[in-house]
Amino acid sequence: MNNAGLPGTGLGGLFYIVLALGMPLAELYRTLRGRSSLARWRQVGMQFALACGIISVTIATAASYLQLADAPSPLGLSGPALILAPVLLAASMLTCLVVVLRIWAKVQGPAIKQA
Amino acid sequence: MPPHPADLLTVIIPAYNEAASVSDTVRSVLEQTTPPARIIVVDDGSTDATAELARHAGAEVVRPPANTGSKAGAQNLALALVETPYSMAIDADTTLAPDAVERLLAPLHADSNVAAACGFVVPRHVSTMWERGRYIEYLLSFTFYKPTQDYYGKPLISSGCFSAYRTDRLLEAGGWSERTRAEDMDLTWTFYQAGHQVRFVPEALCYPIEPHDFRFMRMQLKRWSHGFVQNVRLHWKGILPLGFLSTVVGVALFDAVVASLIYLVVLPILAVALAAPLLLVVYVIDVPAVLVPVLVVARRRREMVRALVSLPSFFVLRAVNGFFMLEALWTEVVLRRPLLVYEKGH
Repeated sequence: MNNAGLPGTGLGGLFYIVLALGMPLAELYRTLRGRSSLARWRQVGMQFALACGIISVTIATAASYLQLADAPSPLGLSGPALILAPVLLAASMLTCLVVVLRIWAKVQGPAIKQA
Repeated sequence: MPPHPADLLTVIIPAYNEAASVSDTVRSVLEQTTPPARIIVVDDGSTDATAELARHAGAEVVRPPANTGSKAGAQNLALALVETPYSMAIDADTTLAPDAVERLLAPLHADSNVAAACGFVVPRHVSTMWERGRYIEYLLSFTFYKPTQDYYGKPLISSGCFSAYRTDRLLEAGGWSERTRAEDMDLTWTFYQAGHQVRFVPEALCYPIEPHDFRFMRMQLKRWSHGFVQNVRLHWKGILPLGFLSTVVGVALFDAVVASLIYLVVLPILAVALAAPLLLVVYVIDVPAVLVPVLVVARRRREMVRALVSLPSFFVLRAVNGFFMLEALWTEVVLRRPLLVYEKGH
């Protein structure tokens, strides 16, 4: 999954799920500072519910996949490890990617701004 | 009584051989709950009856001495004639929901920091495999990704088929640039770098005609893929200090490259090498995840059957899209041969 016109794996989708899951916290912060509204909370509720829905069906899909009689075991993986491995891999890659991007921005950003 | 925002709006419709659709577009603008002050159709050297039909439908038609060579060129020609505080770009194959203009102008009118606003896009015709793939792609993107980007203040792109602008900000940005093949993305990222805001208005609906066959889809995917790569190359320094935007772009680029390689290279090779055809399930492993946002919006639109029937086409489109993304990266980054010709996607 990715934006329209851009092919994507679950990595982009995972990124947006994390963002959507973080919305209630961000909105709570805004609410405490008097910068929120009912309309914003409605938007937050919708995106958060979608993210939870996607997570739920993904877990259900993984469980169903494991029930397949001849589920392939590439790289010697089987059972829950077969499902967890790509999820952990994607989460690790996403974390690394975001951290690298942020460090890069911190290091290069001021120099670029000055130039 | 203060004037309604639409009284301060000029709609620009670039058109090249759009005789089949331009009348519907102009009429849908005129029949808005709040019609604009002015509609300018730029007949960019059409060889069909585009100009006559647009004029007959009620638009003012301007025609450059020769084809400008791009949508951006045609739009800039009309921009020079705009005298209203708000401008709107609508593709000549796009019709609007009756209240779309009113809804799209609301954030611009409410907040002077907002330079542009874009709406929710739904393909007008959904019958061929390509249209169906695009239909699912839009439902997913405009229901889950774009609202999330909007919440964090940075929609990735203010779609060129239907966007409203504050005219002075648009002029400050130099209008629509012709330096990339995705002028809408270029303009959106230029606004962000200038410190302006862009908003996504999901209630403002528009209905473009999407590519119906592979020939037109190929042209559109090529233009979009090259346009994305060109914009990343052009703007990366400028957007790097913009935390959320640079992260979104970085993740999108990385994901697009990884996905293209996985779908077109890794999966087929692994399935054969490991003699595990079930591995090909990975192509569609995210069907349920895609279905969640798609069915939520399809139910609201009473299009559940259409969405379910269209779903397989999305996965075909995604794999084909992967090919054009790799092609764009290869020619733009490795061969350093930028796509310079603007090919209309339908």
